[in-house]
Amino acid sequence: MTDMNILVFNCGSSSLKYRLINLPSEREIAAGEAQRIGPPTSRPSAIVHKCDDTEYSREISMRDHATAYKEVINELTTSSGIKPDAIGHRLVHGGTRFITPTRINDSTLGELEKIRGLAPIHNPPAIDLIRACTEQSPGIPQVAVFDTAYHSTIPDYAGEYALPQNLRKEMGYRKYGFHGTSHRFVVEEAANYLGIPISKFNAVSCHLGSGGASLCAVVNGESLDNSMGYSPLQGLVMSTRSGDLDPAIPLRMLSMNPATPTRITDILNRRSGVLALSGLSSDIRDIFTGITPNRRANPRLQKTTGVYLWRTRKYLGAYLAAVQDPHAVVFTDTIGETMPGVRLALCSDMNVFGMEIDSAANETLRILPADIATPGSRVRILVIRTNEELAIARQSFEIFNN
Amino acid sequence: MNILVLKPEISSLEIRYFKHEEQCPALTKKVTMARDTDSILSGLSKTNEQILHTCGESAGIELIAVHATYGGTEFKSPEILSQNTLKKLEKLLIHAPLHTSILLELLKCIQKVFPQVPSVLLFETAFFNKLPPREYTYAIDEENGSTGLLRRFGFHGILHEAAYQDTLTRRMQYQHTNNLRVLSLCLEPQPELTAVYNGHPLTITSGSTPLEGLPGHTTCGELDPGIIVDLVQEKGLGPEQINELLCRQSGLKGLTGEHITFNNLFAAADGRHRFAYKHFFHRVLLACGAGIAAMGGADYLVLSGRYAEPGRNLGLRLQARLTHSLNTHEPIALSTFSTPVEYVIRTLARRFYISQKQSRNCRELLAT
Repeated sequence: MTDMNILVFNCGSSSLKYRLINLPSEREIAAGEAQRIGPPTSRPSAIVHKCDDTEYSREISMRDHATAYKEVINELTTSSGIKPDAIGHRLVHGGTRFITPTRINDSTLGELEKIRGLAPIHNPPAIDLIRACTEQSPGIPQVAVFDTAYHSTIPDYAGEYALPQNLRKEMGYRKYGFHGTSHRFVVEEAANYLGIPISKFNAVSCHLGSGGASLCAVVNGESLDNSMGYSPLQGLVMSTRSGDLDPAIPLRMLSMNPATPTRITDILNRRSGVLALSGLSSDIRDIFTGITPNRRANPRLQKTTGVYLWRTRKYLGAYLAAVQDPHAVVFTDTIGETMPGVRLALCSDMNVFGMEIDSAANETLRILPADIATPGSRVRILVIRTNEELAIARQSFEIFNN
Repeated sequence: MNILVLKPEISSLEIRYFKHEEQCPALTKKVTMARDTDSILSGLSKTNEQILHTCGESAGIELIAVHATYGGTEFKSPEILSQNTLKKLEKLLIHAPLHTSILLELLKCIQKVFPQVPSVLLFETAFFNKLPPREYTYAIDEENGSTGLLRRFGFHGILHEAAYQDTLTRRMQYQHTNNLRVLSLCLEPQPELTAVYNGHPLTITSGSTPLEGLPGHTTCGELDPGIIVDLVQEKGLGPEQINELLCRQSGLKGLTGEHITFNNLFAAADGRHRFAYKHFFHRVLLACGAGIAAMGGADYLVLSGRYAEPGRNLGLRLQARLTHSLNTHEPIALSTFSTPVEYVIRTLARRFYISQKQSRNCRELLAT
């Protein structure tokens, strides 16, 4: 097996996160983020770079992701003297075309252009970055890893909506699911932790981020269902997304204001969720901070946490029923990893599913990965730090070594 | 008591007339009506004549029960029709303009045609006024949404509550009934499932309309809200077209490409309609799991509605699947509540009217 230094990119609309990871050792060589890419803002563009134990920030104008890529490579060469052997890209949405990690060539680059519109905020800058890498570093092989790919195993009866078949086929209306790279990573880590072969491992994976969040029902290591759907809007209450909503509501909004579908998208994706419920913050951690046992809480904040936790708990119960013989519930990402109150609210009084949380272990948890279920709990409750960049690096490495 | 049960629909009125305590209605008919006063008046007058002609003078209507769908948060229990009722209904026009305007027209006509006959209104949504805020609240800013009352309701509350009470009564005969936990699945053309704990609904699959939740004969059930906007932007559909698509072209019809009912679905579960059946089963299973998480367990799965008996196999499969998943000593019991809703309405209306009359008599007696 050849040693490789794989540069992983996680591309935002105005940012570019990167990590240079050595495989198979999984040692992180360098990491960083190019910030404020694009037109000038109130603060200048900069690269924040970390190598060994040193971290620094360098201001540099970056008008687009192509320029940002060039600066990242410069930074890596300067600080670590290492050029990547390969590049792994995270893409949020692969549609039905891309269901496995895919090596980039002229043909696949052409195919990627066809899925540009599937995730209009995330896919375009990522695809533009791939082009820039191809042009600037033609000798460095690249792989695209798709968040939706893990969910390509969702069976039709779970993934299809009850819409006319011709419409479903024409428009691709089905559940794609998201956070697949993270769900896959923590599920594999969980199976390994418990010593269960991944092909026999059943779980409910809870990716609870401070922004987006989704649950995934996993059977035999594969995704059976995901709370997000055709878009990341469906499912849980999120920071600014509504989650589940009666279809009649956006329909009525359209009837009242027929010329503003863009405005409705903006409301449901950016001005709903925790932000709308609390009227205070989009970060659920702020809402929990505002409620303590010893002082009287704002009723609106209590309602916000109530709705947030209840929706997640119902999905947890739904997926535990669907999975049938779960080995574990896995918590990950910002909220899942760092908020014992959330884990306790979701897992308490769930003995009926064979699951019992150890309150003390949950509260005092510091080191991950960890098992916070009681010894007698049939279903283990694991808390595992997600590492999407490592997951992408692993999948890229697998492609190049095969 | 001779009771006339009326159920107003968008373009028709279902009429059933029950003589005294007879089990079967003496008269059943469905009158197609235009939504105008004259048409409704004519329909009611003809019905009255028909009852008197068919059943005799002694069969005069003594009570009218109106089976209404949407009562919002104004109507939390049955109500005897009065001018105050009409005022409360007018407040609901903004939330459910079509159903409420039809109901208002009907009630005004009832007052004209049957001025001396008391009327009791029973609302499908009333039971779901007990839903906790964490369940009924959507994570959307009402002001931005600007669509009126933004909360979940259920739309088969009458059957759900009756099924729960029936389960409670039967259980009382041999076991304690503290904290009874029931998963109530109402199998009607727009089905829904609610988890009822100690008489209170904790979860509901329906939303602010019956469109959300489980797929129906022609209704879509759960749907990513992003698809609605996509249909406008990518397909150029208008709100009316989308409404037609989601309410009349989706559900079992969308899944199978055929006009089928739940009867057809359950009869061909392992054959012709296997995919649609598996889809529906999966959705109901998820709803059951959610309800079990809400209640910390479940004692009963109860099927009700016109497809309860044909759906018995579905119930057995759910029962087997859930019992396998759960860590309990006792399996979830399965039962069927087969009483048609109009019978339940008749019974509830009579009981309510009599209790109100007795209360009034008591108050008058105490006042003298």
